[in-house]
Amino acid sequence: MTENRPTGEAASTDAAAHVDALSALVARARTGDRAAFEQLMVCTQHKVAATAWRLLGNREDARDAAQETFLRAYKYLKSFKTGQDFHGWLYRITVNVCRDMMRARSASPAGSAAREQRGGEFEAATPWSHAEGGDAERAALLAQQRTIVRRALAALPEKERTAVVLRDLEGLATEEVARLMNTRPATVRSQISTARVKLKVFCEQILREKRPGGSGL
Amino acid sequence: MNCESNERLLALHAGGDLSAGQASALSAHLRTCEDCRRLAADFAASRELLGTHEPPEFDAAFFDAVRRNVLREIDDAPPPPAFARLTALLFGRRALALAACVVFLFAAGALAPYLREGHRLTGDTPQQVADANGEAQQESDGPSVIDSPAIRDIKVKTTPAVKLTASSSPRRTQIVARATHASRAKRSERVERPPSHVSDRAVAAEIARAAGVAPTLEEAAPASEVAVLAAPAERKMLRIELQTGDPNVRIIWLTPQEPEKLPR
Repeated sequence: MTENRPTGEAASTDAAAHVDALSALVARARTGDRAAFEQLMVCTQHKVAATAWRLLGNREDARDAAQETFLRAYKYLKSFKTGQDFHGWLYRITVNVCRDMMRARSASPAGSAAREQRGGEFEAATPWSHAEGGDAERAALLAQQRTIVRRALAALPEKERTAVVLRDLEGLATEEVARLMNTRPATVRSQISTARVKLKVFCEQILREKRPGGSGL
Repeated sequence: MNCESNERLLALHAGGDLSAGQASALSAHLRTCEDCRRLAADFAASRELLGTHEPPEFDAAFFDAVRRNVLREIDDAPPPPAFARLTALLFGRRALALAACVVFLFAAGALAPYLREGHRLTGDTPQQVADANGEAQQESDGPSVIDSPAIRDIKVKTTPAVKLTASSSPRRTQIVARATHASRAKRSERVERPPSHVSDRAVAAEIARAAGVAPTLEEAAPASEVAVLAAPAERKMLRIELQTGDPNVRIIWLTPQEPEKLPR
């Protein structure tokens, strides 16, 4: 994931080759080739885990979601149509799995509290690859901001959270978000608007704390 | 532009989710409104803060665990039943659905003549059935089944417990349900009952009027035992009785029949 990114025609050629390779792997995996399915997982695991983490907010849930996503993909691989976009198909499964987990989590308050506590502890101990910069104070501030954002997102209702994460963090178009959430774009816009207002209220707490000292955002 | 209602618009504006018209109108308002400008700046700042919600770099151990658990679950999953595997091997879903459709159509085609012409259920003509029923009833007691111009009575199976009889005479029309063995309470359950708001005598009168005779009721039969079998005088009716395994349950099917389809 750290290799140099090709540009122009080379990039499109690479992308086509990648799609071909993926299609070949899918075809082999559909016949029950275990090694091919494992290779498929290797090719897509980063994207699946990152999406799951953004939606669920902690590493442990992201791991569970990734596992469930790949299990569902294996189960329904026969229904995958040749020529379909495998990444899009898998992305849809990932979002559905995460939404199921969010609903299950909100349905059991005890489990939610326990996970929140466990997740908070876990994430606090997790090293952030691009949070360094050599400045300990800045790193600490960044960690604090991330914690508040994560909690703010966790406080949002499932639909608002999914909508804002897919739109603002995953960078999907509103229509695409609506398609993934099985709703209308107007509904998604409303959910995004509400979510952003709520997030702003959360974030204002930090802004108010940092402005007097002059070390705000 | 109303500043109080701008918050939601500004939230959408921060992410570029407004239409071109809305965005330009809001931008024009922002040039003149200090409060809305501050609000827009807050949205931009919170959006920037939201951008810090980036996942950590997952290490190889994380993904190894994911793949290992997935493959283990796949291996541990019980295999599908042998029959399901065989059918999946031999037929895909579409082939299976097609086969089911063919079987259904074949069954429907085979049953269609029997459903259209109820007399084929017994292999006899309606007249033969009526004659046989009449003989059987004459041997026991009560009136025989008489071929009515308005009603045809076809009994697939007759039981001694209840006899439903349709009769016609020049003077009067009688439709009598007579029970020989069953109690009066049970008998009233077996007899077809008119709607509660229609009196039995009114029904009998309508039947008689349809048959073109004087509306008289047989005195021996209580009004509650009169069955409703009204039909237009011009149209012949096909009546099929099916006695179920339960002697208390009999299915009676009364349907209009085209005259040319009724064998004489």
